[in-house]
Amino acid sequence: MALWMRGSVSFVALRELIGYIAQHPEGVRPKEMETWAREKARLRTQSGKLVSKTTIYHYRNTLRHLGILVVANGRYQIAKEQPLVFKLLETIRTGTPKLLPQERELFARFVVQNPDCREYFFDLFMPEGITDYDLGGFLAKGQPVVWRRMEIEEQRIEELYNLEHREKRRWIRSEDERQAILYGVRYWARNELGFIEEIFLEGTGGMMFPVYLGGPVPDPRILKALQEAIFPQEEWTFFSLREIATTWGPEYRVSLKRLYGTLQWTHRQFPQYVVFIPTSESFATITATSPQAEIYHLRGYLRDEKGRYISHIRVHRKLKEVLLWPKVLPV
Amino acid sequence: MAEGFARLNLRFNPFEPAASGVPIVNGLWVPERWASPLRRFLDEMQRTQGTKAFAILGEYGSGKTYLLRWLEREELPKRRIRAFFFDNPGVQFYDLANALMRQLGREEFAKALWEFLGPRLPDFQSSLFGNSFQEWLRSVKKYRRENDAIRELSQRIREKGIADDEEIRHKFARLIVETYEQPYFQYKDFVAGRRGSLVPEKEEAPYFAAILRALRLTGGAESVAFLIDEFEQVSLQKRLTKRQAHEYLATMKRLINLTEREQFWILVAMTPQAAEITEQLEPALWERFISHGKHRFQIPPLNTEEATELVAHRLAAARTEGDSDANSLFPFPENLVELLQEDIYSSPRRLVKVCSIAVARAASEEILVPFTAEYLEQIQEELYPRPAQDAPSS
Repeated sequence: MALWMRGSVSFVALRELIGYIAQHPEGVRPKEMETWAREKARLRTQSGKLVSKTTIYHYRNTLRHLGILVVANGRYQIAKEQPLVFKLLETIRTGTPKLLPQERELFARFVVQNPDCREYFFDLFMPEGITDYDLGGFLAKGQPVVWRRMEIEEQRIEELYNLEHREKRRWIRSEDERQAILYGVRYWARNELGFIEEIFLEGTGGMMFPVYLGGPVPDPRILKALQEAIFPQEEWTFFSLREIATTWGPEYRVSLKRLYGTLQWTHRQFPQYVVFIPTSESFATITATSPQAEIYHLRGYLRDEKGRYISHIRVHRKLKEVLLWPKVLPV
Repeated sequence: MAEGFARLNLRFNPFEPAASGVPIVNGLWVPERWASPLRRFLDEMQRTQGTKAFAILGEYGSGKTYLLRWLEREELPKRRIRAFFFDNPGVQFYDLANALMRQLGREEFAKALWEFLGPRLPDFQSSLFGNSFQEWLRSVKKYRRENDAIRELSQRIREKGIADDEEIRHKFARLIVETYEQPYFQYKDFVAGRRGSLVPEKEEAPYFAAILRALRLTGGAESVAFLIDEFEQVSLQKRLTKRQAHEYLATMKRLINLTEREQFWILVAMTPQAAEITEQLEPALWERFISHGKHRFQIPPLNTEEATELVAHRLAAARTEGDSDANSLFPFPENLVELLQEDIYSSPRRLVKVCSIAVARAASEEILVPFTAEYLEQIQEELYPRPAQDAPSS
């Protein structure tokens, strides 16, 4: 049976569609949905094109599989009797270009609790023996997962495995699985809803790990980790940002945006103690074979105000003291 | 302007405005913390066998180029190591040969090789062939003795221990003889398989080894060293193809192999990131390159003493004759480094740049000397403005 998860699904569009269907308690037929989406709401894909009939099909199919819509007599209705759906209806605010944090969290809960999404993707992140989890459990206990592409006998194959339990693995061999897992659920979790982060490492592949949906910048836990990692006996301590990202990221479950945002904040506060070390862009993307791959490889680097890609920082030992100032790092 | 410098007890501004490259006057000075590991490596590898490769890691402006130039000018000649400096070498093995040979110049290389080989063409009066390289080439051409000359040179190349392989000897001999018609190298000369190419196909490493032997023997050197700067700029184009990325690693492997077999050293300067990625791509290769961490040096940022010494050394080179106080920091205050931010004095490029502007401005304007804290603060802020601070967010 073909899998239903697809990367073309925009959760902003899903929210708009939910809002539209919620206005019709008797339900909406697919044809009406298409007319509304294309002629009234004029929903667009990420590339800016008007949504196609196929895309609208994937929208309603996704909402049905996530348990937000039910079908009765050919009409799609909101599954209001479900408490989480009820909460979603109360929360959503249509008409905004981005999802609100609460909307993202609710959609993330639907995705994580879906049996197909779990079986094909989220279960890989979970430690052995944990099968019953929700979004909170996933974010608190999920472990890093690596995916990498290889060619075996001229066939493109992707492997996903849990970095701490390598026996937990999945092979992607068909285009349907690829679209559903790599470009479906993974994209939703990483790009649309922002509860997994991913960083590309040469020789390893894409390392993914769960991250909390929100949090402060600067993050006090990151500041504390930085403060503790500075060698007091050395005048300067060097840090590889990708090393920081792949250790502190999963440890504190913090996104690269927040992690690097914290470092940028520190740099702005104490420019004399924090030196950004840029990298050669051509070397940073040495194994990228397409413009898309280049963008993907550069995700792991901090981009500073001058547009440079920063691979390392060096930090003066005096930062260790100033980070302890109560106004900087509340104790 | 000269009067302005005189007021500063200087003959010229000893700090380059762009703060890249190296000074052209006086010897080069590097802190002992930098020199020691490199001297240790050179000492050790001159005595023992093994991979004579070394990686110098440092951020932009940390002094990588300067350190390589110091090796080239100061340290390697003392050890009879003939050094060649390269920027951005390219990914293919023959890119290196191309860069090297163009640096030498075809005529110079061919002439040195010809003199070393001392070819004699049989059945010909020596007077007909003159004594100089150019006369010899002209006579070979005039009397249509190219094939004889190539045969003779090829024979001598074997006898002198430069190469055994017939194709390599033939290419070398042609390189010499055809200099008459084409006294310069072209890129196509180094494209293997191309018509008229001077390099053999699928024989890159032996051919390169022969070049190294020729360089060593013709230069009377004990060994040859390649100093490769900005290794991370392996390609001028932004994106490497899969094949080029593979070639980059293959080139590294071949170079390492050569350092084990030949009297050949390779010292590479790169950013920490380039080292990190190469290690991730080929951990075993990288470990071999840096001999499991022994042949790797991360340039440390300057400490206060080193920063002071750097400024004093530069100033000393520009002092007027008879100036006895060579260690003085004048026109800078003696506590100069205390007045500079940590990120400025620790980076050679930033330090030199700040000093350069301070001296240049004081040479043309009425600036109080020794320079005041406010003056130096103003220059630091102009060159490296502090970023605006932002409020925390959630």
